Amino acid sequence: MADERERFERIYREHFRAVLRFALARIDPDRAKDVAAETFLVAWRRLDDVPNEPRAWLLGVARRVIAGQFRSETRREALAGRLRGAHSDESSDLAEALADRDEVLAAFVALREPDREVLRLVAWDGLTPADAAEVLGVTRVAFAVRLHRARRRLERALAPEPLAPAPQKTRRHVDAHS
Amino acid sequence: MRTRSSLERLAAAGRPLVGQAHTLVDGAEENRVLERIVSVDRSPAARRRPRRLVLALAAVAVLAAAGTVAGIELDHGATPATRQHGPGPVALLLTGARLEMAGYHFRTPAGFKASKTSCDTASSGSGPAAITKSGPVTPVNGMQAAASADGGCVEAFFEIPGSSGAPAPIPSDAVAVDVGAYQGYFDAQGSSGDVLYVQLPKTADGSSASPVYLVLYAQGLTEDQLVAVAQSGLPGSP
Repeated sequence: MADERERFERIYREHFRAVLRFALARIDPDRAKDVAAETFLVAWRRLDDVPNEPRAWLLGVARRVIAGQFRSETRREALAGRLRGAHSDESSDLAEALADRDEVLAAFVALREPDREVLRLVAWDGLTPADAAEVLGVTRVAFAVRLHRARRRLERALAPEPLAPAPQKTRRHVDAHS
Repeated sequence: MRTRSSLERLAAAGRPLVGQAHTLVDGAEENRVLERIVSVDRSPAARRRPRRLVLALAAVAVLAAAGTVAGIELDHGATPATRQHGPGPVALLLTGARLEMAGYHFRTPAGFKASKTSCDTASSGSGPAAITKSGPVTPVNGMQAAASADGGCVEAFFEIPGSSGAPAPIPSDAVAVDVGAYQGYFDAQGSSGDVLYVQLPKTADGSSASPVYLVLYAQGLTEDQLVAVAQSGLPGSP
């Protein structure tokens, strides 16, 4: 029992903040604390199932806790407001940084939730594709495909619409045969 | 100058948000959460019966509050069909406003804020008398506390049945439930909310011939949550 307590405490100390960050990126701060606590309660009860590298396992639990308790899309959407309200003073050019952040977040919020989740795992949770795949319960290949598509959609959302999208090449090809 | 990728830009945009993790929970709170978790029995038997976990998660403040109701004795009867409840994970989630009443401190789920408006008043304007089906109810000494959140509310008061002329406050179709060491009765009233009655000990000085009932009326809470709220404010040992 002492060994179990020691092992759990080590896991808790090493990963509590990561789980809290994970939750914060998805729900409001009050609930994020609850999610972190419940995630580690699950880990305590299922300590025998917790792998030696537990981060992805813990984040997978946290994700299920969030999904089970906070299904409301409205609450998730409220994140957009919080994102815009959160300030960072790390940039030397604050105005430029804020403008860029607003642009990126507007594009991010416009994506579908599955795309946002894939991007969050990599960009905000700092997971490797392998760990992110474990969190989502999918294969690495499947995650790589999802990430690739999500990135393309984010980039498309960030890029301004082309003014003249005429498919000139095809038209010339058709003309050549006519 | 190297152009940042969309992922790098997204990472930078989210940094202030996830960075709140460093200020949201300080070291002391982190330790308290850890202690609460490891106080939960994780023996195989307990894991087979997760709803009957220890009552130790009740707040320490509750024990102090117990002093205000010292000298009381338990008066509860066993009911064969009693539903089993325990704090379980939900007890860890009671981080909302506290309902403070007569020295009791009941914790509410995350997101609940203290409210001066009762649940029933908010929904119908008729006050606590309309909450129970068994007849008019008079909260003891006007003691009443409420909290509300997006899509839910919970209200607590004490009741001595004899004080209102009603023979007993428990509706005949209420289901007996365990509320820790106390006898409770859960009355699902559907869309109008649910009521949990918890039979408290008689006062030892004989000031009340009838048992006192803690009445929790809630909208938007599950039965488990309502039981957990009640447990959070009652002394572990009657």
